Order: sequence, then C-alpha cells, then structure tokens
Amino acid sequence: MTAQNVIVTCMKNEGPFVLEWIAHHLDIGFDHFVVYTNDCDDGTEEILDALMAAGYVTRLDNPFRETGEAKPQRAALKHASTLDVVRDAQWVLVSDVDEFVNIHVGEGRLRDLIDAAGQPDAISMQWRLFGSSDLEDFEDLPIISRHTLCAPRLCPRPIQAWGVKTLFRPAAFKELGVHRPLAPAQSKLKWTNGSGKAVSKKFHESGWRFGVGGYGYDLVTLNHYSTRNAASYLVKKDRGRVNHVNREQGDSYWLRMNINMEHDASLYGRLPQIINRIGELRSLPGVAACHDDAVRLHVDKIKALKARDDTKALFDEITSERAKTVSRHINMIPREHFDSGLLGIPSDLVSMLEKVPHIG
Amino acid sequence: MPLPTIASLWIGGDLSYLEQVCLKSFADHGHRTILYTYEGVSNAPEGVEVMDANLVFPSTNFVRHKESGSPAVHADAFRYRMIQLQNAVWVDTDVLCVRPWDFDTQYIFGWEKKNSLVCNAVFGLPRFSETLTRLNKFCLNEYPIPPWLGEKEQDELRALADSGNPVHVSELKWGVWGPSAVTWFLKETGEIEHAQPVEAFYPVSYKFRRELLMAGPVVDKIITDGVYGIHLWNRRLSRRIVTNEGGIVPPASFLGRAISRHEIDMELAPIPDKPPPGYPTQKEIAARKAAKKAGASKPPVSVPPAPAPAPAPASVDPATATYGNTTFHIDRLKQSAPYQRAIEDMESRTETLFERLPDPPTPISNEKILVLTSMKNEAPFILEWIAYHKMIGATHFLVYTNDCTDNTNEILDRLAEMGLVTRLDNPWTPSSNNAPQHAALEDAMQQPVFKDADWVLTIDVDEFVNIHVGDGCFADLFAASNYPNVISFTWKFFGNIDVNAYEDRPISEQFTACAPEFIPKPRLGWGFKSMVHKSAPYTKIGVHRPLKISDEDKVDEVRWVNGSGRKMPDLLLTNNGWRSTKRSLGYQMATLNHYVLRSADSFLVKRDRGRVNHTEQDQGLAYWMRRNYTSETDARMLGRQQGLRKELDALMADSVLSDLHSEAVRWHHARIDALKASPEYKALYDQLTEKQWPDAIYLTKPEGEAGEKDAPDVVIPEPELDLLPTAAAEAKIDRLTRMLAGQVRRDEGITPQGDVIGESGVTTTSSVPQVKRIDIGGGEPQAPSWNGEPEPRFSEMRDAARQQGFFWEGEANAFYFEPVGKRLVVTFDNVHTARLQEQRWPWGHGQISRQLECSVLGIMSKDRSWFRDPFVHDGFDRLQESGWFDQFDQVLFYGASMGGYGALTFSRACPGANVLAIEPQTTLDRSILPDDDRWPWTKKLDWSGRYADAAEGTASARQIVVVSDPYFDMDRAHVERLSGDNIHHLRVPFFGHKSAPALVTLGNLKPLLSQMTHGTFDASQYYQLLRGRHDLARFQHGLITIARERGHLKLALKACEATLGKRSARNIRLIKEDIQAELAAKS
Repeated sequence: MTAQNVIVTCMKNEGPFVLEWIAHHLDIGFDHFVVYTNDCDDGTEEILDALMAAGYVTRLDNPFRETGEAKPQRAALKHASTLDVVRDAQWVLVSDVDEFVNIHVGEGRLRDLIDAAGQPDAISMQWRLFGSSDLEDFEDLPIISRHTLCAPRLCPRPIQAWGVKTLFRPAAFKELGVHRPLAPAQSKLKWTNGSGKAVSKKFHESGWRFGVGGYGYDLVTLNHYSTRNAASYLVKKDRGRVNHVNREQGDSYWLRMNINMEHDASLYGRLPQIINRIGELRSLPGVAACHDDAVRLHVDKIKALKARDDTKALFDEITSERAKTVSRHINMIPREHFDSGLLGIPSDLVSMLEKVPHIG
Repeated sequence: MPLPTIASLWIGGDLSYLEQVCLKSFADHGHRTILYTYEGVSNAPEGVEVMDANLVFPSTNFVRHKESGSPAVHADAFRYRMIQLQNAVWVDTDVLCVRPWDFDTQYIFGWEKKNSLVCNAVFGLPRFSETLTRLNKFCLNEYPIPPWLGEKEQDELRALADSGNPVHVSELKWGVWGPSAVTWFLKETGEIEHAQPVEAFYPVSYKFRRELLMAGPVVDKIITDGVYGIHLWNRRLSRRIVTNEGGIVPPASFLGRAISRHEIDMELAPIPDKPPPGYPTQKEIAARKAAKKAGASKPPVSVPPAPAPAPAPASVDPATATYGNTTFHIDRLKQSAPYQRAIEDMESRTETLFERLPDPPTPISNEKILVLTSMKNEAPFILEWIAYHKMIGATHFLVYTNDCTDNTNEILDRLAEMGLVTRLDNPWTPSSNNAPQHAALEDAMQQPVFKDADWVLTIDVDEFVNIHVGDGCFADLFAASNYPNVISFTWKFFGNIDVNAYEDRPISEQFTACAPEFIPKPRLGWGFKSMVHKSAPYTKIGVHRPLKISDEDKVDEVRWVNGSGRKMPDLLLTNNGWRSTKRSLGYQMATLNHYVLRSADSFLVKRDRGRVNHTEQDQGLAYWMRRNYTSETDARMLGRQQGLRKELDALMADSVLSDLHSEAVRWHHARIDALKASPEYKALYDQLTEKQWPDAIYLTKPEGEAGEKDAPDVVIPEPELDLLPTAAAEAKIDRLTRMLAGQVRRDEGITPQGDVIGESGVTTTSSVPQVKRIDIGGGEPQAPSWNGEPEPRFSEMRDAARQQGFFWEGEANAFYFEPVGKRLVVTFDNVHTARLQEQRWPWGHGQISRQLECSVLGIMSKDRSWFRDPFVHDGFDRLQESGWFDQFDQVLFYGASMGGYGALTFSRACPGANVLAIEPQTTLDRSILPDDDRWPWTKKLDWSGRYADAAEGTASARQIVVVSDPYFDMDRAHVERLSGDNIHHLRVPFFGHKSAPALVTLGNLKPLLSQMTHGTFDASQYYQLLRGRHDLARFQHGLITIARERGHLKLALKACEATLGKRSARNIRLIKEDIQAELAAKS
C-alpha cells in the first residue's frame, strides 16, 4: 500500500525524542516518515532503522556533502522531491522532530483538519513556541506531558513566533520548501492558514511566516518545543542546528524561544493515545532497545556537558531565576535585549517582574 | 479556551455586600477570581483569593482624584499594568457576572456607548496588545496632554506646562486615564474591532441604574444571551441604597435576587454610610428626626442570614496514563460549575452522615467475580463489554439469551468454549408471569457457576463499571472501600451528540457526553446496580440489588457501600429501593456508565427489537429524548482504551470468534440499511439527526419515572436556574420549548430570540407588549368596533388594547395597534401565522416594538383569505381618510408571502410609505396568473375591487424592497409584474419560497428591517451579507438542483464537491454519484 500522508524531516542527534514524535504523528493520521540524517552518534539512526524495518520510516543519509549544498536541509528537500513516496502521497508536511501537529477539530486527526479547512491544497500551520516550563533536567517522558507553558497566541516578538510549516498536496506544487512548498503546479490554489482562512496572495509566492493580520490557530497549532528542558538544550547547543551550521546557539536563542507566558495543555489529553502508540512501536523488534540506548547516551552526554566549565556556565545561566522570570514576561522585554542576551536586561526591570504572582 | 482568571483591585477597608456579590458572581460561574488590595481585606467572599497589589504596582505613587478623592485614576493605571504582567481579565468591583465568560478571544471589553465610548470596567487584552503598550506609556506621564482633546484645550494645557504649572492627571476631567484613553488608543491601533456590543457588559445604562433596585423583572427582560456582565455603577447606586432603601437592596429587585442567589448576607457587610463632605450621615438624620418626633424611626429591615456554605471537598479522581514509572493524571471529568457544586455539596454532606466500613471481622475471598446478564440481539457489542469487564477483574460471565437472530448466541457459545462464559437459554416464555430478566435471575441462582462465585454483579451489556481508584480494577475498589459484601454503582447516563453512524469501535471510546452526577431539584433518581458477595445475608438476587434478607437479625452482617465507598443508609438494607437517594448516591470510587443510546443508526435496531424486559414499550423519539443527557463530559474511559484494546485483541486472536464478530457487524450494518429503507424508521432517523432536541436534563418526568410516557415539558434544574437571571431563564425555556416542538434544526442552530420567522415552522415569540406610552396627537380612530365572533386567539391583544392603542375585529381579520414611537410598522399575517393555534400577536411584534421601538399596526388574519374581506379595505380607507398615518415620521408596510401581498397592496393607503415584501404574491386571480395554484382555495376569493392587484398600487410608495428567489418560478411570476423606479429586488437565490427563514438564519432580516424602519436602505450591504448563504444546506442543494435541471452538469458536480468539502451529506453524495454516472454516460 502506498503511503497517504507523509512527513519529510532532517535529524541530527535527536535520539531520545524520535519515538514520541513518530508515535504522535502516526496516531493523528500520518503513515510514513522520510528522515534524512547526518552526523548522528546518539542512536538516532539506529532507532530510525528499526522503524524502517517495520515500514513506518524511510531513512536516508543527508546528501548535502555530495551535492555541495551548504545547507543540509535544503539538500534533503531537493532529494525528497524526487522520491515516489513523497510525490505519490496525498499530503506532505516538512517538519522537525520538535514540532507536534495539534489539531483542535473533530477527533484531532488529520482528516478532521483537512475537512474543517475545506479540502484545500495547502494548510500553513503556525508555530506556537513552547518553553521549558522551568524544567531543568531531562527525563524519558513524553515532551507533551512535560511542557505546557508557551507563548501567547498573539506574539509579535520574537519574529519566530509567527513562523509556519505547511501541510500540502504534492500534486499541486513542484518543489518542497522548509516552511512551505514552492513553485505551484496549478494556477488556482486553495491555501489556508491554521484557522482555515485563505492566506494572502503574496504568501502564495513567498514567505515563511504570518503577521498580525494573518495568524490563526482555530483549527490547528504547530506546537514547537524548541528548547525542551535546560539539560537537553545543552546537548542541542553542542550539536548545532541542522540548517544553521555556523550560527551559535547561545543564550540569546534560549531567550527568544523559551517562552512560558501562557498555559496550553491541549495536547496533554492525547497522552493515553501517544503512550499507547509508543508501546506499540516499542514492541517492534529492536526499537525498545535502541530507544533505551539513546536515552542512556543522552543522559551520559548531559553529565559530560555539565562537567565542562563553559557548558556548566550556560546551564546555570538558563536555569537562573532571572531566566525563568524573563520567560514569563517576554512582552516586557525590549526588543534590543533579544540579541544582547539575558544578562543585558536591566536588573530593576527583572526584580520588578520577579515579584509578580503567577495567576493564570 | 479555559475560563479566564478575573482580577480586580479594592482600595479602602472591608468590602460591602455589593462588592462581595460582584466578586462572588465570578467565582460561582467557575472563574478563578482574585482581589488585589494594598491593605488586605478581612471579608472577601468564599472562592475569591486576596493578593498584595504592591506586587503588581507599588503604592509609592498612589494618585487620587483631586475633587472626588476617588482612587479611580490609580485603579486605571493599575489595571493596564496588571494585564500586561498577568493572564487575567480586569473587572471593576461593581461588575456582576451573569454567565461564564467563555469568550474565544483574549480581547474582552465592550462599548458603553455604541461606537463612541468603550468603558474600562471590563478590560482584557492579549499581553502583546499594542493598545496596552500605548496605555501604559500614556499613564507614565502624570501631566498628560490628552491627544483627543480639542486643539484649543491641548494648547491651554501646553501653555500651562510651559509656564511651569503643568496640570496633574488628578485635576483633569474624570476618566482621562480611563474610558477616554482606552477608546482613543483602541481606535488608534484598530483593536477597537474586537469591542463587544453594549449589551455584553453595560446593558443597564447609567441613566437607568435605579431599575436595578426596582421590584419585579424590570432588568431581567434585557438579559439576553449576549449579556455577560452588568456594570452596577456602585459609586452612585450604593449611596442611593443608603439614603433611600435603608441600606438594604430590595430583595425582590434584580440586584436583591442576585445577592440571595450568590448567598451574600447584606447584614454582615453593610454599605458604609459616607455622605459627601459637610452632609449628615443617615444615622445623624435619624437621630435628629427622633429628637424631634419620638418613636418615628424606621424599623430596621431584617434579612435572615444565609446558611454557612459547605466546605469544598477534594476534586474527583482524574483518569491516568502511565509511561514507565510515571503516572499522568488527566482531568477528563468536566462538569459545568453549578452541577459540579451540587455533587460536591452532596458528597460532602454524605461524608458527614455516613462513615466508611469498619475492618471486616474475617477476611473474605474476592477471587471469583461472576457477571450475570440477559441479552437479546446484542452481537456487535458483546466483545467490548466482555473484554472490558475481564480487564477490570471479572472472571466469568453467565448470560441468558432469548430470541436471538444475530450471532449473539454463537459469539457467547464460542466464548463458552474458551471458558469465559456460560450461556443458557432464557427459561422465560410468553406465558410466564414475570419478565424475561427476572426469569433468568431465578434460574441463575440454581447454576453451579453462580454458587461457585465469590461475587455476582448484575448489569446489562450497555452498562460498564468504571472504577476510579488504584488501577481501576474490582480488587482496588474492594481495598479502597474496606472489603464490603455489597457494592452499589449509580448510573451515569451517556448521551449522543452527533454520533449518527454506527462504527465497529468501542462504545466506551465513542461516547463521552453525559448527565450531571447529581441534580438536586427536580431531583433525578438515578438508579443503581449492585454486586453481591456470597457472604452477604440475602436470599435473592434482583436486577438492581440483593433482596430478601435471610434473617432480620443478620442485618449487622451486611457491609454495603455506595459508589463513594460509604456505608449505605440502614433503611436501604431491607427495603427494596433501587434508585439512589440523596444518601446512597456517590461517584467518588466508581460509576456505572450507562450507554443507553449508542449511535442513531444502532438506535433504529434497538427500537426494532424492543427492550428485553419491557416488551411493550415503544422506543421512539420520546425514549431517545428522555435519555439523551449530554450537558457534561466524562471521558475517563479514554484512559482505559489501551488496556481494552489489548483484551479485545486477545479475544479476536481466535479466528472463529473474530469471524462471528465481523459477521455480526455486517449484519448490524445491513439491518440499519434495511430499516432506513422503511419510511417509518427513516422518519425517526431524520428526526433524531436533523432536529435539535432539548437535553434530557431539561425534561420533566425523566427516564423510568411514572408518567414518562406523558408528553414532556421543559424545566431548568435549580442549580442552573439559580444562577440565571429571569429573562435569561425565560429565553432558555423559550428555546427549549421550541426545540421540544421540533422547531429547531441542528444545522441551523438556535434561532436568536425575538427574530421573526415566516413559514419555516418557527413561530414569533409572543409576549405581553411593553406598556410604553407616547403622545401621538390627533386622528385617534373611533372606539373599537366589534363585528363578528371574538377570536379566542386574539384575547391578549384585545386586553392590551384596553390599556393603549386600539383593536378592531372583523369576521376574518383584525387590526391591532400598539403605540410605541414615531415610526410605524404595518405588519401582515402570513398563511403560517394565521394557522397557529396559540395566542397571537402581529408578525414580528416583539422585534418591532421592543428592539426597534416602533409602533405596530398588525393586520391579523384568522384564516388564509389574503385580506380579501371588505372589513380590511374599510379599515385602511378609514385610517387614510382620517389622516391617521400623518402622525408618524416613517411608515413601513411589512410582510411575507400572503403578508407580502398585504404589504404591497395596502401601502397605497399611505402614500410615501416604504414597503418590505418577502416573496409576495401580487394577485391570485387565475385569469391573470393561471399557473399559480399553490393555494387552491384562493381561486374562489374575490380578486376585484378596491385594493385588489398589488402590481397596480405600488406607484405611491417611496421605496419598495422585494425579497425573492429569482430561480423559483412561482414567485418570479409575481415579482416580475412589479415595475417602477421605486422597486428594489433583493435576490436570495435557491431558497424557493423560504427566503424569510434564510434571511433570519443569515442574520440579515434584523438589520434590513431596522434600516427600512429608518427609511435608509442600502442594497449593496445586503449582497455583502448574503454571501454567508453559501454555507446553508438549502442554498447548496438548490444550486445543485437548478444547475442539473439546466444541464450544467459540471457546475453541479463542482457544487457537490464544494458542499462535501464543507460537510458530509449523504443526499449530496448520492446526487454527486448520479451526476458522475450521467457524465460518464455522455462521454
């Protein structure tokens, strides 16, 4: 049987987080995952290969070195455009392992979303940035159970909060893109945002995010857990981002993305289904062992990073009271401090914010 | 979105009962409610949390208004700061909540004066709101120069500032940091578009604030569904209460009833008697009077103190999911606030009355748990039920069956071969003198598996025991309740919201909408079912409970607990009661989920077979309605699905069993299809799935009670009613009544109250006309004339006319006039309204008189005779000749269908009037329009003489708006006869002769009517609004049909696809398949 709904993604050292992500998206109606990996040493590839044996996954080496492409993600997407499993799919989503599709209509499944959006050609789902929820350490528990604090729905800064990923019919486009497909193959396109409303004509041509006029979460939210917990963030920072190989991910990234302003537990209700799916996947040959190995490697890596002076200093900074306070009041932080980092924020502002009770 | 947190600021000592009732009204409606203070407060009402305001906004720069001493200026600045720092909605302490603020937005504020002023007494914005940023910046400057002031005033302020004497905010006009600033900045940023209408928070204007203290339903009348809160204007109102009401709000007033509803004691927190400086207090005034005239003082009003409210018990057990060693608690039980409180009160009361069991004298064996039941044709549902109860610890099932034709026996026999079940034929015969279930129970007690069991649980295949302690197994329940020997589980009814199609999927997963756990009044006596241990001293097993204690002395050996693990009341141990009383009800440890309805499809099959035990009962619409409880959510069974699936998989691994099950599923599908092919069942199915029926909690005489078969009536249970203002309750009753009469369709939703609807079957709300006199001088017609039999359906109008206006009655028609304002609407009956059997009022009466505040002249019709009676013609002649119409500024003639004919025809009596005619006829003279025979009897009417052909009388009208469907030939023939520059055609395609209901559904009729009564009609606006019609089923179906008829098959196909993209509709799917076949045949 050919796959109907396919996710294309790139991974580099995401070991402990792969299983839950696959489980959740299988549960809501995706049925195949095309994963490009590069430079993994934490068991990511082993888990994916075990899942590949069961038919859920196609894992490929990221071809960016051979093709000379500077950005691994770009190279992968170019390659994915040529795959039958992608071209023949009904729906394709280019997404990352820290992004969870969260559908608010019907039973929360893909077909409910597509029906509610009026059977369009593309649905651009907007990120909602989920912060660390003040968690400092890694535990092998579902991400969606641990992180429920997030950015408000109206969140003009950081600019990333407007970002989208797009679910689309591959027949309607010629190229895959990170945030949205490119080169429409038909003149008329029905393309909606996460509220089922048509996106602007301009967005048909280009754009990776919405703005104050176009945002919408009525039907779907893309929960974006980019920081996870502080300890896992050390590992993430240590590996660098897949697509931005040269950019430092210091505390200014944490400052931008670690937003704990509001509470949204809408995915928490799917825990039984996700845990059930994880159980099913773990019962496949090799999967449980690979996952548990990846967890051990991750824990060891954290231990090693915490023992290093520079990463220990970063850990202390991002777990400080100051960092936690700021994450609840991003709207009070002047834009210029996003680049100067946590330590640049005036102390009297921080001490005023520290006193504010958490009430809702 | 969850209900928002509500927060306010209080400055100045303790609260009075006015602040208490306002704050508590939010907590009572389920909001987390916070009160900030700088000095603390000792008497915050229950449920309101007090916090230190310094944490949000330090008091170092406290600002008071110079003239009034009011801290309002500071409170303004405080609220903007607070909502920027926290996720909370600000309310003033004098805003009363009348329903939960379940907005789907974080923009929560409203117009106080439409399009001119937004008040900030209710204020919520997203924390990143640009308005909020600007307001906070503006309030940083204590010497502001408000940009909304005139140039001259701004210049003056600037000049003073330049001269070194800047004007402080506290010296400026009141509200500089308040409503004026809020309105200004919301407009500047465009966020004003989120403003709620005036009625949302300011339905009682400052001018009418005293109505809050008047006895009777003065204020209640205005509390419609769109009213969320009421700003009480306490600063002025409280002084009036002190000076004019002796400090006590009249108990019968709206405010007085709110105070008792929220259980606030006025005596414990009186309003301080603080007169303006230099004036005496009430006490001083009284003392002076007393000194003058001894013994003349007013006796104090005494109000009985409210009983102390019960403490809130711990919340119910949430469901859990386990990953590794971690257990997640998921709150899957969601009950609306009033019912949640009712069950909490109930449980806390039983907690004080009934203890838990003492330790057992000797340990008992709890290993063998037998489930005993009777079945008839339940094949597709057996495996889930067996698997589930096996999962929670049942070890064997004893099942009696009778007259099964669907694999029930085969499935059970296979399960018997696997050792899990014993199946026996029910020994009942039609000549038996008891019911099948009782016959089975008697027989069961003789069976070895029964005698061998430690426990026997008697439940049906649609009942699932849901245990909330430990891992959810019987063993956990035994331990948690300290090893009883009888346990009773109270029913929780699970209803059906839109689960139409049968699917082979666990029932316990598909259905999560259910009844409240407890409704004190009218009390619903949920039944219980029991499990009995062999050591309990009873001799008989009943359907619901053990019966016939072996020896009265052995009653001490009974260790019987309810679903909360509390001892059952002694009385129940020996009587034969099986409905949970207030004392025996309890859900804290276990619930009996009763899935009595399942899907609409399966319901047809169920109806077809009759109930096992009640062979004669008809299970039609009434049965469904009485059991369809859906107001609450209990999805705790979702947490058990993982385990259930494992058990089911294990059973289905047996290929014989899995084949039998699949066959049963196929049989069930086939049976559904066969039943739907019969007109009777199809009609029932359509009734169930297309109409919106009232939820069962609102029906009198519920399931299983005496009189169930009588026609139900609607009632709102007390916990909910207590929180509803009278008008909201009346509106709800009105809606429920319309639902009960089958007048509300699911896809249309609920028609807004007061809307006028024509021939769709929904009636105009009738109500007593508001007594509001205006001075309409001159030309008052003669005294009422009586001509023919008084029509009983017109008696209320007749009575009303004795107070004001007039009422003339003829043989077939009547004129009813109600003076309200200088604008008049002449409104005509239509064939639908003419046939209504209830008390009658003019078409659209409520909306015209109350909402539009226009005078009404209703032309009533007792029958469907198109106003052809000379009585009507004489009446209009008389009004015209006397110059009666001249007293009005605007006159609109208004009607639909027959009424549209009336509006067009009689408008000539008032030259210069406007006309709104919806799908009118022009004449039914067959010599002019031979084809229109929709109303055959009209050919006998006289279509000649005065006021005959509508098409001939339109020249004198100022503006005529005709609404009709251009594709509906019958109506088009009439409309095409109308010509002239003053005629505007408003086209509502594809609605046939149903344009009026379509306009109502689209929300267009109200604005259209409103504009026409003001004489300002703008056609382009209506086409904008009409775009909404594309989502109406009627439009979609009409478009497809017309396109097909005209041979545009591809267009029809496209329309089918567009429709199916929006909703799944079987009829459209079938049409689509037809068209596809047609297209294929052509090519």
